[in-house]
Amino acid sequence: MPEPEALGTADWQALGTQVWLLVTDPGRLAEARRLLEADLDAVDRACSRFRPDSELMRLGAAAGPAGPASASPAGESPPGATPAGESTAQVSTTQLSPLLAEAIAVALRAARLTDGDVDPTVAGAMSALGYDRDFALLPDAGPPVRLTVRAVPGWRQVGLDEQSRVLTLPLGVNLDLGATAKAWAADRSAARLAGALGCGVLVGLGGDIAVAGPPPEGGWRIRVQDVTGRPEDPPPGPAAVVAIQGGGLATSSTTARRWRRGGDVLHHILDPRTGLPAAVYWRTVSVAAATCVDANTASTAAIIRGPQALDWLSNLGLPARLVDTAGNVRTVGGWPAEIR
Amino acid sequence: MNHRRADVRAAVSQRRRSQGHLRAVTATVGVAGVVTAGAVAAILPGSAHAAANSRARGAPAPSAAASSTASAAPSASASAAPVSAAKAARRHHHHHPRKASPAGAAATAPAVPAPVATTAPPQSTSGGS
Repeated sequence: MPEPEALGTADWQALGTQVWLLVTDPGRLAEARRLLEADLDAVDRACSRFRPDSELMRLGAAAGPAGPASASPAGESPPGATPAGESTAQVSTTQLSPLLAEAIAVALRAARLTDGDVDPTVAGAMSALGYDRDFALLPDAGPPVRLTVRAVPGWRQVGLDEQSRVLTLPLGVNLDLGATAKAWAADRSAARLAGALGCGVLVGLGGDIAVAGPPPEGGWRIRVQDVTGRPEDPPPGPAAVVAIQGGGLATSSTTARRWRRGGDVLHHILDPRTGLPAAVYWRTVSVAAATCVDANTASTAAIIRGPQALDWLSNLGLPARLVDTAGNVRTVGGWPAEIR
Repeated sequence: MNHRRADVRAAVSQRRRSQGHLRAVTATVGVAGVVTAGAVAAILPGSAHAAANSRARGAPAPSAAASSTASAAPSASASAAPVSAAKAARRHHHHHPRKASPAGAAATAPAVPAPVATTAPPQSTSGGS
């Protein structure tokens, strides 16, 4: 049996999550890491919702306080709240950097493709639920928030001229690119690093994995599981190992990024129709696609779509593995049977 | 946490009414509007058989599908034809957001093989994060 290929591997924290970098040429690892760190720093400075100096937050400041929110501290009205879906008369118009323009274009594309299931205008609702800072800094528990069913403003309120990079945003509508930005960043960096270094590259940002360049023999072996972690550690729940040759693989889970407010356990995947954490039918959905951002778009939408996700993913032909709350595993689209 | 179905239905109806109103009064993103599930199939190419079937039937790709080329092309190209990775990366690196490119672009994107099961130790993990 031939010796397995040696890979160069590194991991660290960035964008509020765990970064995994694997390269098929270990001698290029240091250079790969330097390139990836620079890429992620640029993405963070452009897209972060949690650093006041980011370009995205400066947009938020220009657009005013968050608009329709779905939750507020019990007994209080959320600041700047307006009736659901009501357009404001004033808009802000901003010239974007190429990077933020691309990130917002990707987010709007995800919204369009999922008919609004993956919507970047959830920022106000997310903050109102208490997720208003880097997740590592978020208290596990806090005072109750009033949970009110109220649709988010909606991605159709966001105007982006992709050629001039001019963004038009109604006052009070803020953006959260968290659903797509990491997957898009993984795609972008994996392709860039593979091109620059001439070897196979895997970039993992939390559950969002993109690969590019020549894969190792047998493909990139990835274990899908509820919560991302180290590959040498035992998986926290149902898991399966698959190998991919290219494209991307993303996992969305309602078991990750959870916090408690009063008696409610909240999670980070919001249903834009309610502005609240999506009803939990699937605990975890993993999808493989030609790109990580496509995989992530589909896995996130599947969480929100609940049982309808099976037919939807099947019709799309996307290989997917869905785990329900009882731990039962369903697969569609050519996802391989699990080896026991 | 309670999600009352009636409340959800009311919110969905409200949202749809609002969207109809907003479509008339706000700027759009400048590309095709609502995409049907069928169109999404061409836009989110995942499995080899899906892409192959699409081509075999000769079904024209919807115009909105072209918007996927911004993100779909680089890694798909890199994986299907490793020698073109550098070219794909350069193309991606210099990509600027643009309006939808010509119809059919997605149909020409190389297919990516579906995952295969393996018993070998994992090199990475993908979980919720």
